[in-house]
Amino acid sequence: MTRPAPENRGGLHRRAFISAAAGAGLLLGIRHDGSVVAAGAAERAAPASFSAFLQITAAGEVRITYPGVDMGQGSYNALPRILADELEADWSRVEVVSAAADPALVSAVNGRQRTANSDSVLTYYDQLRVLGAGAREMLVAAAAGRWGVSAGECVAAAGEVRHPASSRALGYGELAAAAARLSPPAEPKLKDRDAFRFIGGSVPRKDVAEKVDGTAVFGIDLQLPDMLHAALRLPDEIGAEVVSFNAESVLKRRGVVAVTRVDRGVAVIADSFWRARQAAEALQVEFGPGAVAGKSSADLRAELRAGLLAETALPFPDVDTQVKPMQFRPLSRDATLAALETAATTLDLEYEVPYLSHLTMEPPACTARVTDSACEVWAPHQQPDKARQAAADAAGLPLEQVSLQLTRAGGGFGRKWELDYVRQAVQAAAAVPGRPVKLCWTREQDVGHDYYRPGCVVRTRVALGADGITGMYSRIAAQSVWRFQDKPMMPGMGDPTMAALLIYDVYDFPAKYIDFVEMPWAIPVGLWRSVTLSQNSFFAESAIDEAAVALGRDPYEFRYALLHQHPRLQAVLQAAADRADWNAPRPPGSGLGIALSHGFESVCAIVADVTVKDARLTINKLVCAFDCGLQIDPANIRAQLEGGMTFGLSAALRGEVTFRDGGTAEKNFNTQPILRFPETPQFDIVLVQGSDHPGGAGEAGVPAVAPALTNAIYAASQQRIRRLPLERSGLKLARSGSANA
Amino acid sequence: MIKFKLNDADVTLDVEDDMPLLWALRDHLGLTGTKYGCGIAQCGACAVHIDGQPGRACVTPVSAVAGRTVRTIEGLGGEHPVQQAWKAIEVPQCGYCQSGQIMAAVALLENNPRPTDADIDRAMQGQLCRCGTYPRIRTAVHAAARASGGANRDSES
Repeated sequence: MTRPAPENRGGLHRRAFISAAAGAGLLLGIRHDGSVVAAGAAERAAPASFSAFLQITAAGEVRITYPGVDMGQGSYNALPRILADELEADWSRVEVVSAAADPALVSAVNGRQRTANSDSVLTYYDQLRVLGAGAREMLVAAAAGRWGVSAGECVAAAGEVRHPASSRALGYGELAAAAARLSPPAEPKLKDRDAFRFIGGSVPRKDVAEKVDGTAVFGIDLQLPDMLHAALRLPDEIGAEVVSFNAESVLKRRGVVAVTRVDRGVAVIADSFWRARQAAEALQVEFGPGAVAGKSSADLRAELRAGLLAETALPFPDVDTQVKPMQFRPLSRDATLAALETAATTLDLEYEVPYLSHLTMEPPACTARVTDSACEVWAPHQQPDKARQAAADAAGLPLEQVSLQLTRAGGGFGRKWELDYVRQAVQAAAAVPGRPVKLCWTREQDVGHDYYRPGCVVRTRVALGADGITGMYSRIAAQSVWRFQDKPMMPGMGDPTMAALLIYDVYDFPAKYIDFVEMPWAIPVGLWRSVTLSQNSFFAESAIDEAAVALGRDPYEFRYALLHQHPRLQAVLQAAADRADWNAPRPPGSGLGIALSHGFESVCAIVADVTVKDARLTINKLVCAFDCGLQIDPANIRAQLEGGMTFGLSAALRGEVTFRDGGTAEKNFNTQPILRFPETPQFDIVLVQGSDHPGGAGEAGVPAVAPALTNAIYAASQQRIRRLPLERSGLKLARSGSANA
Repeated sequence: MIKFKLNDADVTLDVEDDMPLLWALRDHLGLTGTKYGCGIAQCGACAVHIDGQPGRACVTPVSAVAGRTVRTIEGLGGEHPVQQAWKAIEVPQCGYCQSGQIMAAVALLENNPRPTDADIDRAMQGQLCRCGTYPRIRTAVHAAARASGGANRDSES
């Protein structure tokens, strides 16, 4: 999500106190005000508001609870590294613990326990450092006391406290109980950055072995005694309600135990998933009319394009994302219209992107067990706090009687932010009280009933003078993700998930104006990896490129000049251009395209190197320069960028969900293909550090791929692609460059 | 009753003949390392070996493996050279597709200990990864080939 992020730096009071839970070694948490606190059972039973648990057992095991969900984004390892670094832990003795939904695990920055907006590292970073440093000082004090020396004579390193003068050492496990009885340091002293051992370095990940030997437990993998399996019957048309169903039509089938109504459809419960699915498909169900009234993509597209001409639209403020807190600049509609009227030259450009599905490799899956007095849930979920509440609502139980344990997530990308599959699992389990029920969606259901990235059309008018852009008016027509997600709308303003950064705030030219025409459709829409930027980077960076071309300016030099107020962004743009050898001559039919994106407190610039010949597109290379500030885990940052660019490529090339008769035409990977192994281009990634504080990496690689690619196609072939996916334009991906690398 | 050899053990199942091997493995034999991704042999998450050759458990009726030998990710033992390479290169992101990726890579290397990049492209093109681990998979396949004594004809990318 790209909604304005709360203040997330500084302001943490370093007041601290530590106590301990008897018999369990050292158990610590950290309050939202930054104070280190005991986190034993007694403290957790009370209304608590602290996070980032640390336990050091008497055996010397360092257990760090990762508060979010591991869906491949790497913070499962990055967050513990931050704490372990300040703690001076022995990494081989660190165990990462997967969390349950727990108010004690919320981030101090946003008050939530959730994994989104690429902000796990940046919302927990300060807390984790203080907690690690506080624990280290406690352990040092305990050792100093044991030896009768001053703490200043002792050093903590690799999971033990050493007294060099006497060559003595004690392991953290031996010190944990004594440390737990001590008063805490009032202000734990954080390490100097040049003393970081794990941050920025290379340490083995904790989640690899189980993902390589098949033992990792994803949502779909949970196995419990006496467990049943649920499959869904969903309507062909999106949003159609169940009118009636005939359970008797399938109850006699082998293995079938129960049939029950759930949100969005009917669940069949059986002793294996396959039997449940066979029965669900055979079930006699009558559905009512769909929520999009039998519409097809052509109808929706016509309405979107008509929306561009609407008399009224909701304005979006010009937001300055580069200052804290964000600044809202005055709107300048009149000035923008005046600039367009008086300009020597104007461009009138229409762009379009389709609806997109998430296609997590693991479809939605969740397990629940419900009794009169308790509801237990096991789920891969990006917002365990709200999923637990949703389970409580679905079970009709108070929150205190509901638990939710996170599993591994086989991809999230925003799909596992939604609550539908958790509610369905609880509703299904309620039909067989006391027995665990594992619900799994089919791929066809996943594609056909997703919460899609909305399709959008954009009209951008550009006023050009001799010296550059004199005004830009950009209007977007689409559904509102915020409205569908029940988030409060800003009065009189367009949805920021649709309109923000439609014209980049960081480019300095006068008279910008953005507005939004909302489509009141009932197609479920939601958060899709990089959210707002997933579409608006394409719109913004295409228009800037077209303006540069119209002015006869080099697209890189043009952007660089417009960024003169933002040297950090200029440096990233330049790093990408330099790495791609921007000014070197290219053979006929080949060209480079550049695009920038900034979000998640990071900056990304991508240069695409392509060749276009006989309607065949060859991606020779994607060069990516990236600045997420302080790099916690550089190897993972590179993996996230490769993954983000691959994700962006799938969408740019062939990502498209279309609607026919109120349902989706695409249902599975055969009709909604994603990038395959041999199609993957060569990636060349340059990491730049432009800040001492970490930013996000999980989504940042996605947005700039599409505009870099279409800008490169223009440079190579003078064919300007304004509508995605680009294979729709007749271009086909020929091959990647990697096989020849 | 359907009998076959699974990871060197004899198993007997009383299930419908047309139940896909995938769901027999996961729900009736408790082996959840083999994943469901598409159900139509498009993504490779369910890749297993049947008589030593790569197969798609999601479209293979369990009756089709009667009397045959099936190997799943659990049958590799965790320290297979391909798994060691996957760990050294830290290939997985979410990890969901990796059982299938590894089974495909093992089958490739058993048939061709010295694969070129083009050989790897061919062998792995049916294995989808949504996280985009393809570059590291390529590196890991080369590393596993090298560790097993196969000399690479290509440089790793």
